[in-house]
Amino acid sequence: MKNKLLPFIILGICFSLSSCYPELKEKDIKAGSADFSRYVAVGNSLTSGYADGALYKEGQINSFPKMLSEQFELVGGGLFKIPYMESGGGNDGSNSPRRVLGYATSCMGETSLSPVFTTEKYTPLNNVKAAGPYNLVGVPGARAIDANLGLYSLLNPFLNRFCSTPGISSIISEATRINPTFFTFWLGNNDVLGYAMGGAVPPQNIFSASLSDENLFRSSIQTSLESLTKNGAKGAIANIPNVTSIPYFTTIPWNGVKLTQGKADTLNALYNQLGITNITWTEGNNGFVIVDSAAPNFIRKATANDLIILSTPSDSLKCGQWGVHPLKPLKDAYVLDENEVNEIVNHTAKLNAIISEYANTFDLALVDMNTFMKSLKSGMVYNGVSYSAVFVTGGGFSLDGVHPNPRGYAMIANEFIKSINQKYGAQIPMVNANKYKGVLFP
Amino acid sequence: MKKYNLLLLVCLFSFTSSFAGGFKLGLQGQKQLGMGHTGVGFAQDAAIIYFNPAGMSFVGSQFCGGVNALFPNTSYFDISTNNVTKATSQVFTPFALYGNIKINKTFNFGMAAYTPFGSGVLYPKEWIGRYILTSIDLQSVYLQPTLSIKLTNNFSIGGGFVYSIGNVNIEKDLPIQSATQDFQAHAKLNGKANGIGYNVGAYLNTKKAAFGIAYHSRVNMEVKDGKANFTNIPASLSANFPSTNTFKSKLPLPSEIAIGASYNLSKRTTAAFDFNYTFWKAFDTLGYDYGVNTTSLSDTKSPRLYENAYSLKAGIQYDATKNTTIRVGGFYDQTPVKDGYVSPELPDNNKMGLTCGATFRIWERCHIDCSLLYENVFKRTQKNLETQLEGTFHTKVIAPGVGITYLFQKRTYKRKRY
Repeated sequence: MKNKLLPFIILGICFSLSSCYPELKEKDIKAGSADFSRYVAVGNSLTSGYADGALYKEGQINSFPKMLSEQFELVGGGLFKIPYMESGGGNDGSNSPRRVLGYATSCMGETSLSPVFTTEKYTPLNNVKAAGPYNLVGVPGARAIDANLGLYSLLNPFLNRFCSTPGISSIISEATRINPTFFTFWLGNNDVLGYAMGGAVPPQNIFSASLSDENLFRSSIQTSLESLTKNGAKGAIANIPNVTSIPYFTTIPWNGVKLTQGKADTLNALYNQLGITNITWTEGNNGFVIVDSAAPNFIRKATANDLIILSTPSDSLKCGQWGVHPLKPLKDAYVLDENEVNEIVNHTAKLNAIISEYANTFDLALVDMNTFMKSLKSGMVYNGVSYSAVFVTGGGFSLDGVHPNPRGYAMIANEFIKSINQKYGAQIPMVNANKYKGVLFP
Repeated sequence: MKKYNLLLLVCLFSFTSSFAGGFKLGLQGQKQLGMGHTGVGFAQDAAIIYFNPAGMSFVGSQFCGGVNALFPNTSYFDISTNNVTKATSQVFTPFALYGNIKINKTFNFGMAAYTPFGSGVLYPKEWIGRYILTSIDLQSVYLQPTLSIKLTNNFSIGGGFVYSIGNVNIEKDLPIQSATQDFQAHAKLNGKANGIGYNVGAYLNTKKAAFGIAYHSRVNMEVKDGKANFTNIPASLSANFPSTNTFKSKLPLPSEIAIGASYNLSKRTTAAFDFNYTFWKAFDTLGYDYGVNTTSLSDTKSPRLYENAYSLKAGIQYDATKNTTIRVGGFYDQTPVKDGYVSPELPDNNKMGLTCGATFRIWERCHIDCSLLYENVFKRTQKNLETQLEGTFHTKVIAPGVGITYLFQKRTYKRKRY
């Protein structure tokens, strides 16, 4: 019996020992035809890691170029130097610190969670030029048309603090100091955003926010890319998301005036008295009254196609009769009306066409951020977590309503990796976006 | 004999792995498991109460019980991050106890307690799917009083009532972070469930062969007063996640039809074959109905859309010596889970199992049964439609088992003349 059973049992044990573990292995990773040894990130606030209304150290640590550099490291990427701020409250460029989620009491006495300034003191913009050159050349406020202007480093305190020679160094000259083998280039947002955030007010002078001229934009992009690719560097270029995708323009509802029948009657009587016939009020939600030069009496009610911007004082909306009283229509600076939205979206499309064209000319990976932000706006699920472009609760944006939070930046990093993998035949793993923090709750 | 048992014990403790493959467990009898878990048409011990209540008429008065040490081992390869997660090692001990009493020539009464469904996975901290699931533990025990009636010398029918008790424990992390403390918000759902059902069958015994058919009814497990606990929630959101909340849920344990046959190939050799068809379609949605709903906590309904599935099993046993029987078998189990619906709670796929076993008659009334199951839940690569988790799951299972059979009446083995 012994002899008959023994082989049977031994066989069973050997069999189980050898094969009771699942055979799943990581795939080989590779750089493809790109060389990531010296990576430089060129861009604006989105590249710098700006978030919650300020540039601060933790934001820089969670910037998408930092995440990319960590992934690139797996395929031969080298040191990635960041012009770090000191720890602290951060700085928006005019010595205000970042925002955090806190409690604010409204004019109506209601206390609720809202973005408030952090109690930490603002961080002075430290000069870190001595430790340069840097791999992260993200300059908050920079437009594409500023990229090659030496004078710009004198005007922009964020560039001033780390560039080699203020007044002479440009964004691109700083970026080429490390002789990059690979770059990411994401400029252009501020060529429409400043104008949009200001409510598309017609520019008063050359310093006013405006839509960048197409030809200027084109030549600046061309010059920038020529400089960056001069020594054979490869790279990825990202385009401009529509402003309609970001919470800054979509958070305050166009129809935020909620009325009872009685209140509506009172308002109608008031408007009739003044002879304003194009505005009537009904029970329930009504559009805010906004300034529109084309409308009779220069005011009209907002429609679903008008966007009220996030900087509109909310107490004035709630208690100050703003947007309700005939003498207090929402000023042009607080509203992107339908025509302005169209103007901005059309201009964005033109600039994006130029970006696509140059991605092609210089044979770069094109990262379609516009499409990505649209899909975020309509809501997406990432490994079990729902994300949308809703302010605070959407999960992807920081408290300024324009810049992503660390999770949002991680998803942006993944969009870059997708395009780079595709363009250069690389196999670079993506980052786990859920690993990063979202909005922090008190 | 002792030597072999020791060997099996070594085997038992040398594997450290995790998780139960699929939430139906095919571990209901040691002898049957040795033969690929066949037994609907092969009344060889009291475990037939589970396999086919009618077969009780042909086993005599006896007690039979066993336990398996289930070592499931699951890995997940995440495509986007190129990362392999190994589920944490766990051991499960599903058991099966059967007692059968021959009341008279016509009636047999039996009682059974067994664990036909169960599952468990524990993923490591901070794994990529932690907002989907960090752990699940699903247990059920069926209690089944059963009667069989011998209508003729060769033919019997039987039926049992099933009362099922169960326990479910599901945990996951919540994607919420605190500004003040570095801790992870977590949700834990825990509930007891119960349900009722039945198990009926018919059995035909001929000189060289036997045939059986059985139907196991669906059992609707209902959690009526589950506890939903939320921990480490930032203070500003505590009202959205009440720390002590309740939930209701339903989990259908599907019905199944089983057909089996056995045939004496020689005096010492018997082969058995089973076919099962499980009506998994019953598991259509998994919903949680919370006692208190808030803006962050609404009732959920997730589609599962399981499909009916079959399994094929075959086994053979050989009386090696007067007091020793050895067995070998295998099975193929079709998955009920469609592409796009495989999730960390049940990383299922078609599976193939190989089994072996032995019985040692240490005393004419007392037998020790051993079995060993090796199961491969094939690799499966897909993207879950609900959570967007995209990757490959692979599970392997090892389950050594041991049991005892005690005969209340001396039973002569007809095929024991060597």
